[in-house]
Amino acid sequence: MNSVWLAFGLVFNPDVMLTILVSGVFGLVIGAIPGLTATMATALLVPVTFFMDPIPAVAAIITCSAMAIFAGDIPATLLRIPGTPSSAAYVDDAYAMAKRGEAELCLGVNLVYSALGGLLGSVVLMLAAPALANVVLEFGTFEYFWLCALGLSCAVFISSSSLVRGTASLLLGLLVSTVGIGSTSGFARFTFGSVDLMGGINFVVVLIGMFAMAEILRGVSTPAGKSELVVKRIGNVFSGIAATFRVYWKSFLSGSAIGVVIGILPGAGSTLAAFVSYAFSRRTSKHPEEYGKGSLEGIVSSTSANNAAVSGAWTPALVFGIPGDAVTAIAIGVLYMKGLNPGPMIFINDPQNIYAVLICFFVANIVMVPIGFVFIKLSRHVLSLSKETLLPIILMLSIVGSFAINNTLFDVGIMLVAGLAAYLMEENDIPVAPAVLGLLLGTMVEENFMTSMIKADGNLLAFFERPIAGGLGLFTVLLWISPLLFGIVRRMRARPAARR
Amino acid sequence: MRFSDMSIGVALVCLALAIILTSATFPSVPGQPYGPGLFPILIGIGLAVCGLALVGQSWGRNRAFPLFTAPPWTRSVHLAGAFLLSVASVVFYIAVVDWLGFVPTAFMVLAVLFIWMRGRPASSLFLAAAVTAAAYASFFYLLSVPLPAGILLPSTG
Repeated sequence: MNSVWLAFGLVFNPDVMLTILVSGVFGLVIGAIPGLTATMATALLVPVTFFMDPIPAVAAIITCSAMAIFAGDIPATLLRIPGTPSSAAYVDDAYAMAKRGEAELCLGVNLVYSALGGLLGSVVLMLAAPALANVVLEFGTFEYFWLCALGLSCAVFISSSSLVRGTASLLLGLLVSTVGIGSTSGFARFTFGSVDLMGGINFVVVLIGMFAMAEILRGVSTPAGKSELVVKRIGNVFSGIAATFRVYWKSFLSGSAIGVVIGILPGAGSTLAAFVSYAFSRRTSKHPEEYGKGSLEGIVSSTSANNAAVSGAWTPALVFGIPGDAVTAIAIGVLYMKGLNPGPMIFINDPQNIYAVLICFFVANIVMVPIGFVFIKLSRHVLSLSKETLLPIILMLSIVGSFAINNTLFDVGIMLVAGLAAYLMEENDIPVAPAVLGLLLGTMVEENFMTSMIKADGNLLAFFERPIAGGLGLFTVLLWISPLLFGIVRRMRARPAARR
Repeated sequence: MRFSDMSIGVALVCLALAIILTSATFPSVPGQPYGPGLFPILIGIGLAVCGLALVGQSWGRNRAFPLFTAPPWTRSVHLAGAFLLSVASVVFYIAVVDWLGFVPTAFMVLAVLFIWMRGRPASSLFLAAAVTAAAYASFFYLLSVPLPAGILLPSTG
């Protein structure tokens, strides 16, 4: 109990509160501007968190990502352009409501249910993470290897319709993680004689490139669309919200539950959560015909889901060090940077820090309501900022941010290369998320694989001998061969049909 | 900038071969059966399989597809310029910032990008100056990032 009080002391002090406020506003602005994503907001924030204490740094990341996911709903409602991809699932409904003159209700629902979804996700995180950590304490290298393999495989399966492209992306990420002096052998690999590459490629710098630079390149090369605000003045967004809860509490609960589960799966974040819960809610609704034409039910379900996913994604991140999405991948980078290495041991050694992180989740989602309320009032001004003005500013932030990590211009070059690579990958339908996870987890996969190989003396069956490792391993292998099995089943079914 | 499956596949196979050949030369660690080359070789094999699968898929489809398709922005001078200027400005920054210093370099980069993308030179120059000042103030003074002083400002050592 003592550590809980310590944690409250860590969070409720002026520094952390100010950080939450500033990073919240930053997240709202970036999230509300179409084309700029929550991941980009987080990546740009990391160089700044570098100079903070651990708890304010983590609080900044949590608040910024939660606020950005909510803020994406504002332009979705007022302009019919989702501010972040996570709001894309219900953009038609939100805009239809605004055109009907219900913009206030729609924005109010988005704000309140985003916060509630985030809070519900935080409760699950608070209950699930310590329980899981207890189980994970027993894990050895074999279990960790399979856990990483399972996480990475999930990322490949979820992020792309093409398995080959997803796998290639993952392998490219793993490849980049091997650059530098290997931790198991001490031998410098793929450094081409460069001293700068000896220490490996900095993860955060790559992320700034992949999520900020690539987005800039896409932004400057697409013509600006004309869009007009449907609402000139925004009134009280809270009127009528209480009534919606009585009607739509089931949609809220199912949406949040879907959001948390999808958030926990590696490689899938709030965007997929919103789409899945929207589809689920439509299928189970009594009024499926209203979906796409301003269905409040669909909005409630998916706007709670995307924020619940933000919290859910932190469960595997804190317990295993395996991120649930790109934002938590960045967060894990920050945790390592701050010496708060994620994993089960942090729950035993620094419980006050873990409690502080959990408290930050609650605070972030609660302050979302007042800050979001003010922001909605001012959103007209933010939405009038043009892309042409913003993108050069973000370019400069990316340059200075990637320089600030290690104070070297080499990293600015890495940022540019990563940005160009991510741009080309996305242009060619190669998903970026598996590469990010591969880069982050590469060292962990290799270390656990090599140690296990040496322990097992090269006997691959030893990877399945311990009960949990065997279970995880079997499940992973089944996942790998599932496309093959499905292919065979499909062919067998197609054959009798063809004969007929 | 879309490449055909065939060209992506061939590129992946070439990359995989380069990785495998390089990794095979890594020395083994005395007393350990598995050296630093094992993991990269496994990655290389995986990439080769992915590359071959892409080549196989496009072979199976058996229809003519250009190896490379230019993106729509290449047909607009304004958009293509914005794309190239964004890349060039990072390269320019890396090349000259140590010599010229952060403030003039950042100002030039921002001014060129703003004028190209927004037009309105006077307000663009003002905006570039304001953003440079804000970036310098927050990163140099608030966060103590040692941004290069260059030839114009006195060294802060």
